[in-house]
Amino acid sequence: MTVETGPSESISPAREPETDPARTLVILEMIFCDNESDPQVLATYFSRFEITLASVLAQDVPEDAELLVTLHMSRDKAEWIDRVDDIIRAAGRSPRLRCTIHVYDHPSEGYPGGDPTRVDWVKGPNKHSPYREQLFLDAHAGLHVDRYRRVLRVNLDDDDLWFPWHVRNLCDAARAARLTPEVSHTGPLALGILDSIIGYVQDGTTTLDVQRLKRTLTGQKFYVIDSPESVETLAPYSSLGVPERVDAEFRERFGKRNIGLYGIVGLVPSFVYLRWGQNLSRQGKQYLEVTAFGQVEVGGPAAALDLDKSQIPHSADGLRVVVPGAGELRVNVRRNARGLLVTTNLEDFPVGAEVCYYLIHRRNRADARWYSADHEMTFQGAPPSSSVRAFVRVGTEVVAQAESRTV
Amino acid sequence: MSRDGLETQLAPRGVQEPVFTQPETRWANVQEFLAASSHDDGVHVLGDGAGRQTEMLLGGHPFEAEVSDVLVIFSGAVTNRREKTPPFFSGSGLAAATGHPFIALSDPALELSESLAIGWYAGSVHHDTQQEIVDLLTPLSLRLRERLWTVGGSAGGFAALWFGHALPGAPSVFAWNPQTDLLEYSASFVRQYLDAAMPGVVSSLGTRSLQKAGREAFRNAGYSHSILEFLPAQSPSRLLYLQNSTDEHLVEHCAPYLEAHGYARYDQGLWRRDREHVVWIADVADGHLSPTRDQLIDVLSRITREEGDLLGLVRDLDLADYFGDPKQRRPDPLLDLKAGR
Repeated sequence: MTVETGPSESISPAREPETDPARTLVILEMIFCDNESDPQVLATYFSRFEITLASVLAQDVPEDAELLVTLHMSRDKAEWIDRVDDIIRAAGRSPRLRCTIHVYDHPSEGYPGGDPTRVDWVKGPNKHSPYREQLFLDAHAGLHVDRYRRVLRVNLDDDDLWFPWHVRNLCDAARAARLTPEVSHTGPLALGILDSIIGYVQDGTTTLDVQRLKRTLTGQKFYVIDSPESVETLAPYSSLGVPERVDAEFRERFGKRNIGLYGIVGLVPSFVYLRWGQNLSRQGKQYLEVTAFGQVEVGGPAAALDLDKSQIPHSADGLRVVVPGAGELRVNVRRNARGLLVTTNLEDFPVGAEVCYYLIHRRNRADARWYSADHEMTFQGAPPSSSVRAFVRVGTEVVAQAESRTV
Repeated sequence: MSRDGLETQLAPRGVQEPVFTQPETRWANVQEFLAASSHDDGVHVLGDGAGRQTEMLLGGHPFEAEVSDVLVIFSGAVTNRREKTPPFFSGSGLAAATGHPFIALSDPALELSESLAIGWYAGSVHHDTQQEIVDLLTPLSLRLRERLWTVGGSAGGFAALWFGHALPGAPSVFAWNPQTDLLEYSASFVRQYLDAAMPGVVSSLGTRSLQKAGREAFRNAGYSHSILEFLPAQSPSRLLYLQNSTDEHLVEHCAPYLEAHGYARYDQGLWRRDREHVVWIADVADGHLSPTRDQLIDVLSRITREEGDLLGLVRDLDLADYFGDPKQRRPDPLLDLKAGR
């Protein structure tokens, strides 16, 4: 089947530039209806999953990255596996994206160890430890992660969406977190993007609320692991274990595990948390909203994927890494032989900051210590059921205040 | 030539593989073999504890090699299969001519049926051949890295490519006219293989295509039928992929590989991902026929012994009109792929 070439084609064609080598591997894992077996429920969820999958397969993967999409599907879902296989093959080939189906079996003895009263456990046991780690190991045995400088691990629920620039956002966020001076942590990072889109799906219309949330959601919280050694060393870092709350408390907890927890803001939002069906109360996640950027209406969730990046309202501030707890005063109290010991995180404030303390008893100020650089002090003879309110000032301005629990 | 023909061979044209009379050593399993401090040349039989075995021929003490390149040679289809009895070792003559230690592996799947001529080292319900060979070669691959070469043509080329991508340590690959997705090969051969290796797949086809049923069978077994599933960064350290320009494999196997692995055109008939990953498309031989023995020995000797990167080496050979074919007649496989030819 040699193609004959005419005289005009006999000249060597132009040399094409080499593609960039991939430095970053993004591993996306999804589980389709894990432990669900009701055919009607599966049919409903599959119609959503098709859109989710289309959004993933349409990712514009950066030149120096590769995206590995692993779809975990249990063997009892043969019909759906077949259909997903068709979708993947119809999507065509991209040098920087692979999508594979990992078939797994539910254990014959069920899933011991969880709380059978919790629906998220009963319907999705493989989203929980230790099953999710085993699924990751089984699906990625033989993957040469040591060929990359960086691995990002992320999950996506089977009914949410990524806009085509989402993987680029993840890579940009990881790079920014490594470069920003506020992040000195060199171990694994757990990052949560806070600028999000919540989509309300109704008959004939889908409303997209674009906003900054107090929390990060599955689909845009992820791990960053540099110089990855092996699949085994990556297994503990499931993004499902990254908390929705990116705050000082979790930052401290993760810090004890040598993981840096940070928030990311300022990217053009690329993740859509979809609320389906009749239960569309905006109370659902709205209480988490910090800033509303705007609203976009489209015909349906699939139509949302046609939106251009320029059509998404967003913060004008640009990409920024948020250090949880920075500017947030924490006041801890405990009783000892000398009285009520108070400690604060004054060291997280600028040099020269001072703190003052009020001992509060029955809503009244029972005692006080004026501004000083002492991040801890003791109230002697503090009566039972007391708390401590603290104020931090920088120069003449009070920049933070907080109150302890009552002891 | 017909794609259903059995001319597809790793053995170069006109060469009869020697009959071996070397001593045979039996091992309980791969682990026992690897734990041994030395491995004599000759035939080695690795059990799997369940009555199945993998056979290989060693020459030049490959598992003890420290400085030399080592060749792992995979066989293509076996001609006149019914007249022959496994094991089938190919390429020892090729290896001897290049002077490199070698490991010639026989495909265990060919033991399943006296008429089965091709198995791609892809395994069967009885034997996870891919994993066993990965286990067998991993220590060597980690030690030698790019100096371990997986070598083969056609179905052996598929295996050379597959193990070149799958092995840790990033070995090197020399493959000619390989399949890149075995399920896209001639339906009669695929059907015969599935019938023997994964019983029930063909008989329960129903309205589904052979490829679809095959994909399901491979997925359920946890095996791999395609090189296209690997991401480009999983590639071997060095790769020379030689493709006949008149072979139907050009569009059906080579073009999808070029596309999936991000190869860019360097010159008429020369494609590269970088300077160590090169696909050379030339009128080497008619249709699916392999290069001559002399060509294979010469190219293999050059790429394993000469200094410099693969692209420079291949470019120099091509500029010297190595295959003597008119370059302006070399097709563009990606254009053909897009045109549906």
